[in-house]
Amino acid sequence: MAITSENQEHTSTGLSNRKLLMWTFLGSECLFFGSLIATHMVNRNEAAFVHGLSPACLLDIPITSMSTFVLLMSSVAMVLAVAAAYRFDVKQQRLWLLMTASLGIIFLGFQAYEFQTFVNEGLTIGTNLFGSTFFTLTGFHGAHVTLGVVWIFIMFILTYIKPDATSNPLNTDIAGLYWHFVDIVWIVIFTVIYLIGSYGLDCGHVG
Amino acid sequence: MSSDHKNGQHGASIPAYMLVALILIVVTALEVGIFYLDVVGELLVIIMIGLSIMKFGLVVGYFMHLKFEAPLFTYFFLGGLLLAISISLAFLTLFTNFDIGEPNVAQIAPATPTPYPTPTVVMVPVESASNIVSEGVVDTLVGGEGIFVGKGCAGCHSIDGLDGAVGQVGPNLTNIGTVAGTRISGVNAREYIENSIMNPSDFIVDGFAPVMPELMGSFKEGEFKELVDYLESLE
Ligand code: HEC
Repeated sequence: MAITSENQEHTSTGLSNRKLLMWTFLGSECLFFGSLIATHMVNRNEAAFVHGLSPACLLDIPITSMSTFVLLMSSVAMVLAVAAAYRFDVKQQRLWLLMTASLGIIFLGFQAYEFQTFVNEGLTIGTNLFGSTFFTLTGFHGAHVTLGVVWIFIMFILTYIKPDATSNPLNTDIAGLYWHFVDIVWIVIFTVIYLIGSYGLDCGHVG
Repeated sequence: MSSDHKNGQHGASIPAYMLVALILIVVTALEVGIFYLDVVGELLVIIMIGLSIMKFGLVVGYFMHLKFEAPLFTYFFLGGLLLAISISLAFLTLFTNFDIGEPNVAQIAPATPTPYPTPTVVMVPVESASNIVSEGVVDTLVGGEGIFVGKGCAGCHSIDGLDGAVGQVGPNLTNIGTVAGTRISGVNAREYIENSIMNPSDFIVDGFAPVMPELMGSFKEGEFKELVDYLESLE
């Protein structure tokens, strides 16, 4: 039957193994994204001025600020979903899960628009090092967001069709950990890649 | 372990979450503001990283309630995070010396230029050419020669006898003063050189890729004339 509190799990550490596993996984994800970000920072402006396909020419700060805001709000929605789960308030839990997933989808929409714009300008993953490292990094982040959206949406559906499985708040909690992590990775990407990464670089005319 | 048992959950209360959310929004707005107002100059990188660490900490500490959890979770997460930060820093140090705005010095003047169709591999951004200047390799150059190297032309064009002008992407300009007059009938050497720089894509020399950048916007008063004078004198 449904476990009502994480404290009912019996483990040798006295802690929830699933939570520990999630935090360990997130620690390893830091390495994954850390290396992609560093690679991008090193290579982003190589040959950049040829044809204007450089960070300074292409990165769109206003639009990305908006998508950053959207992702931030989705994190807030997730927090509320987890809090509702611990109150066993299924209605609120559903509402905020759905909100989280929807905001995630809007974020992906922004990303699709951005990728499309870049491709129209002539930047693909094979054009130059900026393209390769940028698409690899933000593409993997987008894949994480997609996975999160699917996960959270499935939880939303399960609250209807299999309430037993979702009544344990730990399930929502762990999905939340993953989702917040995806959000902090974006916090770093936005600051490092978009703001620092295009600061002080000219578009087109260099010198 | 402090916990809020009203929510049946370890961690902060809803108003606390809202406060954190508000701080996150304000800090993000602040970052974008600083970026656009451009008031802090070189300090920008440090300020941005500081603010970003703050946001990171708030989300991990409160939204992910790590602050209220058993320390073991923190150790596991922090272990990965610190390792990731050290690796990234080591990588940036190795390859950029933290001149993150500028490309690696070691990438200047490629030993084996790759021919078209992959010219981008050997493109040398103008900044790195100015690096050469600042590194003292050719810091004695003045006038047209100085501009030629300083603007990065030297990264793509060779001129015999000019230090640093070893690029292979564009035509060798050792005799451009003579060659220029013969390129297009009815166009004299000076006009041809001027137009080659102003509108690089107007006329493409046979066997070369149309990759010469339009650099007019970067010239200071008088530099353009000085550069053209210099090139015209190469006969
Ligand atoms: C990215 C590499 C690159 C840079 C940087 C560059 N050029 Fe070029 N340049 C080329 C290529 C390739 C051609 C030949 C294709 C063409 O005509 O556009 C060329 C052609 C020329 C020509 C015509 C040569 C001829 O034989 O007809 C002149 C003159 C010239 N460049 C001057 C300059 C000057 C001056 C600068 C610096 C302000 C400069 N270039 C910077 C790549 C470059």
